Amino acid sequence: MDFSPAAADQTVTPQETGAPRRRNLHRFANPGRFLRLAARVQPFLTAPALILTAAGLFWGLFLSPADYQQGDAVRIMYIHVPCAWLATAGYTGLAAASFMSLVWRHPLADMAAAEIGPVGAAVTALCLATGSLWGKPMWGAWWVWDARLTSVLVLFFLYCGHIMLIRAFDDAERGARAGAILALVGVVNLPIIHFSVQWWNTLHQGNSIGITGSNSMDGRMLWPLFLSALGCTFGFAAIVVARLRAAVMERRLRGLLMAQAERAA
Amino acid sequence: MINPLHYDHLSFIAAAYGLFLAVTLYFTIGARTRLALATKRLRAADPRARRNEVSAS
Repeated sequence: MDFSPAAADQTVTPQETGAPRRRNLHRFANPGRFLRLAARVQPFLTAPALILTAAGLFWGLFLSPADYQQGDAVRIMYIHVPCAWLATAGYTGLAAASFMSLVWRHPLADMAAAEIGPVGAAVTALCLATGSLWGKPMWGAWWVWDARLTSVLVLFFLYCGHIMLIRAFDDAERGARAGAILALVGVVNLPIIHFSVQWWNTLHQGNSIGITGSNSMDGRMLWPLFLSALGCTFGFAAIVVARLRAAVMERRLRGLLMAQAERAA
Repeated sequence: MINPLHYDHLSFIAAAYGLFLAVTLYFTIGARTRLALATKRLRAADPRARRNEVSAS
C-alpha cells in the first residue's frame, strides 16, 4: 500500500478512469479517504460509548437490586460480562481482519488486526481479573481450572501470541501473515468458549442470556447489563478506530521521511 | 438509591470497577495521545495533510 502523500491525495473517480464503480472495501484502502471517513465516524463512537457505559454502570452499581444468592457481588457482572463479550467479539474482528488480509490482501486489514490485538488482550485480561474478583467471594477460590475459565485463558494467550508474532519478523509483511494464520487457527477456540458451560460440567454458571429470548435474568439487571455492554462495544470500536487512524498517519509519516531522505541522498 | 458503603464484598466490587476504569483510561488516553502526536508530526512534515482534513478530533 502506498502511504506517500501523493497517494493520499489521489481521488480519481471511476467516472474519470472509465472503470466500473467499485463498492467494496478496497475503496477505503486509500489512506486519505480512510482518515477522512474515520475522523467523521469517531465522535459517533466516542459519545455513545461514554453515555451508555456511564448510564449502564451507574444503574448497575447504584440502582439495580442485589442478587438473592450472590448479594452485591453480582454488581461485578456489569463489567465482567461486557469484557467477556468484547474478548470474543474482538477476537472475531481480529480473525475477520486477518482473513481479509490473507485472502484479499486488503492493505488496512493487517493494521486493523495489529491494533485490535492489544485492546482485545486487555479486555480479556480484564475479564479474567474481574471474574477472579467475583469468583473469590462466590466460590471461595480466585481461580479454578474450569472449562470456561481455561478456554478464556487460552484466548488471552492467543491474543498475546498474535501481538508477539507480528513483531517477531524483520519483514513486517511476513510477521503480519504469520499473525493472520495464528488468528485464524485460534477461531476454533471461540465456539469452545461459548459452549464450554454446556459441554462440560463447569463451576462457571451457564448462559443466562440467550439470543432467542430465553433469559433467566430479571429486567432490572438485564437493562443495565445491556447498556453497559453496548457502551463498552462502542468504546472498544472508538479506541480501535483512534489507534488505526494513528497507525495510518505514522506509516504515512515514515513513508514521507524516507522519501525526503532519498531525495537528500 | 442504594448506599454502596453497605454492600457486602465491597472491596471486591471496588477493585473490579477500579481495574476497569484504569484499563479504560489507559487505552483511551493512550490512543488519544498517539493520535494527536501523529497528527501534529504529519502536519509538520506534510502541509497537504491539513488539506486532507487529518485531525485528532
